[in-house]
Amino acid sequence: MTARRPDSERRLIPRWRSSSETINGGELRSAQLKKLAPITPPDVPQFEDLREEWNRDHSIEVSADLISCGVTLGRTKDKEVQEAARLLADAKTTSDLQSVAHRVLSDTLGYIPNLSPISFDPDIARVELYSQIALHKRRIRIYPKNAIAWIDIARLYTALGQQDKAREAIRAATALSPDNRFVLRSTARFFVHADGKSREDQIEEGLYYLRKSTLMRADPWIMAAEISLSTIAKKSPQSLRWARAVADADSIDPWDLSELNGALATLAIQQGGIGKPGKLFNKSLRVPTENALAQAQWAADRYKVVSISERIFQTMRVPAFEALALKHRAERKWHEVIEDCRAWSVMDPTSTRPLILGGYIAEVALEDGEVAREFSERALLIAPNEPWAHNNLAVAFAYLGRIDDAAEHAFRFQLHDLPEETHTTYFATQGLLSYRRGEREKGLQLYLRAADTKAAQKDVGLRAMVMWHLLREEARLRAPDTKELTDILWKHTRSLPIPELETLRQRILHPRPSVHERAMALLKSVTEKGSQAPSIRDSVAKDFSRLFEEKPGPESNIF
Amino acid sequence: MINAPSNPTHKVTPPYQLEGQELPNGWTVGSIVEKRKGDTGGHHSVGYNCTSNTGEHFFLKAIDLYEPLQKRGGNILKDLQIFIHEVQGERDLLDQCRRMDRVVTVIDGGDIEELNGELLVIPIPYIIFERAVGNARSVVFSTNRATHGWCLHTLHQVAVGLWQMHGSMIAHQDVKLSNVLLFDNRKGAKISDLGRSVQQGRSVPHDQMLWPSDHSYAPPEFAYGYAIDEFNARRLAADLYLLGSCACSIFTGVSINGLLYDALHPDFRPRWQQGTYAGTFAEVLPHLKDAFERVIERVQAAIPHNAPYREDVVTMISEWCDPNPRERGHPLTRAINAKRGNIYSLERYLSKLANLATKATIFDRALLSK
Repeated sequence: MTARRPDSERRLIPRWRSSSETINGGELRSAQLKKLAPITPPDVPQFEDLREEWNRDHSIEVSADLISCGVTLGRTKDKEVQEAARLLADAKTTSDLQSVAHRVLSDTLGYIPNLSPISFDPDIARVELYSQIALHKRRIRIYPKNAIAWIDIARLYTALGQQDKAREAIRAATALSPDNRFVLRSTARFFVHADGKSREDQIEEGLYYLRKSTLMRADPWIMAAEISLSTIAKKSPQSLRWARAVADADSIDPWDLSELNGALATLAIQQGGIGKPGKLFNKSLRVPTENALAQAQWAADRYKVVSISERIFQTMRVPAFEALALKHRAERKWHEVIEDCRAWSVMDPTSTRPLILGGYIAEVALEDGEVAREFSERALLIAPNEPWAHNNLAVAFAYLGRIDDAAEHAFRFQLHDLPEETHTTYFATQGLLSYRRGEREKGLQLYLRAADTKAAQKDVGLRAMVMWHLLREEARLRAPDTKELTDILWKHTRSLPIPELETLRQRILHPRPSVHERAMALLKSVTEKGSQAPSIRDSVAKDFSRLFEEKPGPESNIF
Repeated sequence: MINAPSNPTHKVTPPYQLEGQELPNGWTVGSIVEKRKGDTGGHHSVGYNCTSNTGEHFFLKAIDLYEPLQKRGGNILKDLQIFIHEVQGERDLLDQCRRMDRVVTVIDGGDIEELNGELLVIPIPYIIFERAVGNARSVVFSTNRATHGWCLHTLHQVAVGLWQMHGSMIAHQDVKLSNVLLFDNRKGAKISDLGRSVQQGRSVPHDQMLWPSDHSYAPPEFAYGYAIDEFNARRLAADLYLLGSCACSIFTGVSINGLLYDALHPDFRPRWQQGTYAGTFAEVLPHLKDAFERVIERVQAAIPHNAPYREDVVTMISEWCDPNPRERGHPLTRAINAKRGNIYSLERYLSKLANLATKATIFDRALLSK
């Protein structure tokens, strides 16, 4: 059984994109833009002299000086600067001067190109990650005081599962720039998901950096992160008093308040006295970030506290892949969820969450071993030493009929090495392997043992999943009483917030015929119809060929 | 009656009518110097050719006290007072720089009280300088671009000039290629135009301004309104930035600010520069450093890969132009002088630059011989 179900709870933890994507996405711009009046640029007599001089003398030296000054002063639209840029663009001069001239003419000054996204395929992704790490290492060698480059490299190390190197890079960045929004939000995000010390210690460290920053009192983006981390750590958010004042400020652009209102809404679901979650979510959705929209979508599915208009998805600056995945999951559009999770993982290659959700859907809702394998292998890239990632790959291999490969991953960790909360999936996966090996009795015992673990006893959803998986294995064997057991289990678990259960139940009630069953059905039809008509004979022969050319599916090992 | 000047574009006030005048100490005022390429300073002054009684050529700068008086609106008395104060300040600084061999030297000075036999109501102060053959900007951007050997040699001389000024706690604040004048058939370079210079402990009106000089060249801390009280960090650190900007212009053709703001996303540009940034300098600093790293990459790419001076030049520019004024300068000097002394001292760079200039000259010759 797949470990790590999609989170039933969600917190508004900052998204971790590359610096260029974050900048280009507008997440680092100054808040409070609405409040500021237009500004008159200062008088720069030297620039006026240069313009005059250029009108007298169209030489390269005057053009070069004029363009440098024009760029610095933001006067690139001035007639003289444009003319000088045109002259320099075609002149025989330095490549830098020409490049600046071209950027003046195309109005692309300050544009920072995004690096290529990291592919979903784990083998390609590994190569791309190493190549981008080399690029960022070079940046750091050139100028080691660049905290942004340290964060970028930490992100890539995290995506490669090299947590220790990532942690070193994060600490370097926070030492260099302890009061920068990008550094702080990326740091917060790193420590929420980092492995190593205990989870509490990790989150404590993340909170430490947020709370010691002066931005916690002024920047809504930092307040949002502090509130979310505090709730995970089960502590009172320290920024709450400032956050409540800022969240209502009309002077601040709604985009800058989107995540803060989303974090406050999530907090309001948990505790009273903050406001109505629905109202806060609606504020958050005025001009939402992709992350805030995902949070609202989660709240809409889980708590029905807000409704989300379809139109919002079309107006997003950055595609809202996670929100779409959650929406499609609620709508039981499983193939769409898989595609959304792939895109979400490409957008945020450090996150295991799209991989957990995608793998879970592939396994539970689609029972597609190949897709489950893709997601599990990708997860292993980020979390190479995590038992859950190996467990999920074992499950995928079992579905593909590769029992030996599955066993290699399933038995990689000994039970006594695993934390107690993972014992349930450990036994369930052992049970799955036994069933797939044809050892029904052993498999049944293991599944029952899984359902009897402490974690399963405490968590109804987990216990239900164990029993549904057991029933599915029974159904594959066409065991008697499966239908009756399914009805009983459905009665007890239908109210659980697990959209995949209905699909799983339907598959158990109406199992796809095995190759063997389909072959027998065809043989029967041939016998009944006789072999008088050659066309029927031909079609049967074709069907046989098609059947036996099929890729090995879950049933193939039985046949 | 004062005659109208021969050039109709020239103004009719007395400072524009000095041609042919005989001055004390045997000076004869020649023709008005047309605003030459690169002479972007010189507000409220008129430049003349001038010859000594031995027939040598010099440059005369006549201060135009009439111009502030002709301005309409504002407080004339206050403006005039500020102007006189500034002129006096420049003269005093030039006087102190007389013995600095890499700063343009004052030969003589005084006040013209009579013009064509008529007594002037407002005298015309003047300063006579040695006469340059051109400025570094025109050589760097000439069709036959200057060799890196020449550029580094010139940069060395500029650094020496600044080091000399900093020794007297004078910050130039307006170092740019057009203010680097060339002498001795372009072999010698000196810093000129001390009009915006400030000295520790001496009050001049423009020192009250956050940035007293050309905004196009202002280091980023001034662009973001970050005020440092301490003289060294405020003024000497800015001179280092301007020196680095000269080096950057030499190798890339673009000033350091031109490259920096080209690499900086509009979300982080100050609003007065048509950007949208409204936060503090401390908050934007990491993004300036990020942009600066891209600038350094460009400088590195602009110098031939096999040039033996490449890495050192790039390191020097990155140390001079660090966006954080407190991190500018040589790291060793910063460490050693952290508690006492000048952490922005250029001393360690002087021998380095001389050495690099020699290396570059040999490299240039090797390239030419191929």
